Amino acid sequence: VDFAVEYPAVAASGAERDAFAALVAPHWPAMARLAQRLAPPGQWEDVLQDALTAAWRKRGQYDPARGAARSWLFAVVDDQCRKAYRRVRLTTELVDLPADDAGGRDLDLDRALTRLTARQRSAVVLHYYLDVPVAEVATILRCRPGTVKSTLSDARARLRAELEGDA
Amino acid sequence: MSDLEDRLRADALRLGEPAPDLDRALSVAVAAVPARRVPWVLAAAAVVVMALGVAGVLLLRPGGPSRQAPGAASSPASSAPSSAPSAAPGGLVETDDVGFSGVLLDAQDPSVLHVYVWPEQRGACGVYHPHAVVESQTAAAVVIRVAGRQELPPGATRNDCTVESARVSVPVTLRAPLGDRVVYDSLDHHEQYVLDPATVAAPTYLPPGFTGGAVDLSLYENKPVTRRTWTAPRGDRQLRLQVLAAPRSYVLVGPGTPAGTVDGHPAHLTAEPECLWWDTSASRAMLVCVQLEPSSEGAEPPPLPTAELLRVARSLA
Repeated sequence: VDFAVEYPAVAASGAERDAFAALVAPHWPAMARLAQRLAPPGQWEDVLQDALTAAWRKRGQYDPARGAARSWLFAVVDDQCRKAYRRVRLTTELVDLPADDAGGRDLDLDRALTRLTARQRSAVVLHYYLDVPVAEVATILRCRPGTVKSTLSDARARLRAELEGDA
Repeated sequence: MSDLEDRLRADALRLGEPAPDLDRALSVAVAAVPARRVPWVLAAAAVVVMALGVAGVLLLRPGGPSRQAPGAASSPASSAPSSAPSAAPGGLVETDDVGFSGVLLDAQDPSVLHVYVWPEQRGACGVYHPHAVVESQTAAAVVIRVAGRQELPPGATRNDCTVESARVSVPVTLRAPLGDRVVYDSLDHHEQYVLDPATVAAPTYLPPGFTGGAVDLSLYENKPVTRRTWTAPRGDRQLRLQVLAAPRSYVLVGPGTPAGTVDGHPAHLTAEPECLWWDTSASRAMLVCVQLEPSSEGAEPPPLPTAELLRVARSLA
């Protein structure tokens, strides 16, 4: 749908950028947190910028009927993170964080999270780190809530196995 | 909650570097994307050209799949490759249940529903053909499933690029008129909005030369936006006149220029496109908009005098 058709007054006034900024601003910090967790190490800022650029390019596709702005924006960030991983073909060595990067983070858990599939990691980060309800995670990942629950269950099992292995 | 879940949430509390400056990031984003503002008729033409190109390729391909009109109800089994999208780049792939976002009753046949579909956005570039299937129909409810087929450019997979597509409607026929039955989406079994075009306001006055009046359905903030559209030739371009009923928040900027009253409500005028809008309640507004298409880069006079827009607005039943 052409943006000018869906939002005639916005396009008319040249306030498209401002309207888009207003749409993004409430979710921008959470988008950054999502990128920090899901992007390849050291790339989250670039990935976040790519996500914002993609969202701006696709702003005419945003359909409130299919979910809240947050869901749409998170889906764009998630998509860009996966693309970034495909680009770098990350190795285990790159994933492992150096000890001095701790910053108070749970490095064992960080390491275990990298062992999850991309989809499991997205579900875990969205649900546990960003407190996104299961139903909304389903919207973001484009699947049914039941699928999210089973994905989270599988992820927890794998995390437990990884953490016990580390112990 | 398990120890692991506690540990995850505790880690979440420690997470976080500050987000970059949004305004600066948005400047980069805007600079990276060339101004679009493609008139919708050109966008539609581009889709048609792309569809014709893909059709030509398929027709020339030995043993290629038989084509079906976009939107036609079809059996997914009737189309060719059913391999996993990522395993067979290019060609024709089936997509999952994509859901839909509203239903428009056919103006002539109350057994026909036009299902409004927003094609999968994270699929590949190419042409997307959704189709709707009635999964069940009882005396109380109708459940509809929308899936589709995606024609990919050679070498592409569904993860390669993003569909740049518009909302489309696909027809589906019930055994009997819908009546008071509720329509559900098979994707999430949520009740879907059903619009009867007979309930959409129509003006009794139109400027000379306009024809059409088709009803269109959109949703904004999960609330219906209804449109009637007329067109009239204007040289080698056309004027498009729309009457919209929408949530009040749909009018995102304003108030525009005061322009008289409609039905006792103060009306306001915006430009490019020229829209006259007024509140009909605390939560709803009406708009009468006119656009010259394709648009031009330079400044142009308003395509219709404000008095004409007011006359259309005041004639709304």
